[in-house]
Amino acid sequence: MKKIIIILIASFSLAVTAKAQSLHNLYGVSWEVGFPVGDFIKKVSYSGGKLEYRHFLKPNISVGGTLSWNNYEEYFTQQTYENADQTQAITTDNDRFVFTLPMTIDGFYYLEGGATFQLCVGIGLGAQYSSQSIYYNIFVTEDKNWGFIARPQIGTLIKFSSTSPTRVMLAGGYNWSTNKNEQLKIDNLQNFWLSIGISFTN
Amino acid sequence: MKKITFPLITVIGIAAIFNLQSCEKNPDTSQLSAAFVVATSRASTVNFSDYSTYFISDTISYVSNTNSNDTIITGPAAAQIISEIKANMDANGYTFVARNQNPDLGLKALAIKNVNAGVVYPPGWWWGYPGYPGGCYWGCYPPYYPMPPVAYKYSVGDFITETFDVKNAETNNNLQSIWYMQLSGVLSSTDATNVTRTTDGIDQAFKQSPYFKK
Repeated sequence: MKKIIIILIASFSLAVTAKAQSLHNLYGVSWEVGFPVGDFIKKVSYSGGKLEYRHFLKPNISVGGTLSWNNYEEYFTQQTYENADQTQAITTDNDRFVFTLPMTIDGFYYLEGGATFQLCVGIGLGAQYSSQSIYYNIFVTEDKNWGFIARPQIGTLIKFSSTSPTRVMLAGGYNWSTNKNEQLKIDNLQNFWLSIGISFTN
Repeated sequence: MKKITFPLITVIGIAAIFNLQSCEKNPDTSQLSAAFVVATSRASTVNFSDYSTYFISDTISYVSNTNSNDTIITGPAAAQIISEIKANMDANGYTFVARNQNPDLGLKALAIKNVNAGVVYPPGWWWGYPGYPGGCYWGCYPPYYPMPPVAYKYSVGDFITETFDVKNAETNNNLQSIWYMQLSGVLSSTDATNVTRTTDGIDQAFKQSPYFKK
């Protein structure tokens, strides 16, 4: 933990003391790891990704868009589920699956243009397509829906060299969407995420 | 050269990501058990300790869209399944009596095989099917299902048992279905396996219905 804090402080110091540099566009691809929030699925997903584009209006402000996706899946051993008034019960094992596909318009603010590190905070707002399924025996209960999504996030861009147009992207954030599934008692979809990727700038 | 290389790298990077993992993956259902899904439903206003005796036929009604003229299942398989129901009823404090001895409860078993996929139906929809003893089997009362329907989708096989309130049929002027058990799932090609899955499912159905006792 102490090491992580030291690294974070060092990264921040590098970012705020580095020389400003103007960027025009950024194209990024990332691997995204999702940490679901809620009872439907709790298992971490390593099956996610992200494509993004940023256009810099100013050296410290960009707007753009992101298309990301993730696949959450968890197996639950046999157990009995009852309805609220306990007049109905069902016993089965089941495999739960959620696919998310957020599409957002993003805005980022950069803490000084950095030569090596460039910290940023931002938010993405848009729509999310999602499917939620429960597989049991040979049956499936499934729903597909759309919702509004908000993706607040922080991140950093790390340059390989002063002349390289390529940067490593590290980011973390939180997704909250209004995707709802009454049949499976899902009121919204939420998750934390971390991503690592590569970007190309000009 | 630099202008050409830049978009090329971008395209290769994006293609690599998509190649490594397509957006929506297929769920891994290999862990799922072949055990039947066990669903039960009860009438909320009934006190199950008000009943003492029951009757169940030693045959099972049979509905199928396969090439079969059978409307009932008899023999060792039916005997084993009906015995399992009787064993659970007896263990819960009820006494088996003959049909002409005015049982308080009437149980009826039904097996469905390969009827259709994706059909949703409530309890009792098969009333009037060949082999199903509707009409005056328990007395000449119309069927009545006070509990919410159990909507489900089936593809291969189901085993259903309904429990009717024969004791109060005359007073209520209907034959109320007070407990409903449904076992659903893929059928094995081996009858013995199907019977075992069914008896296991019957035990689970009674286990998850602790209110169903004298």
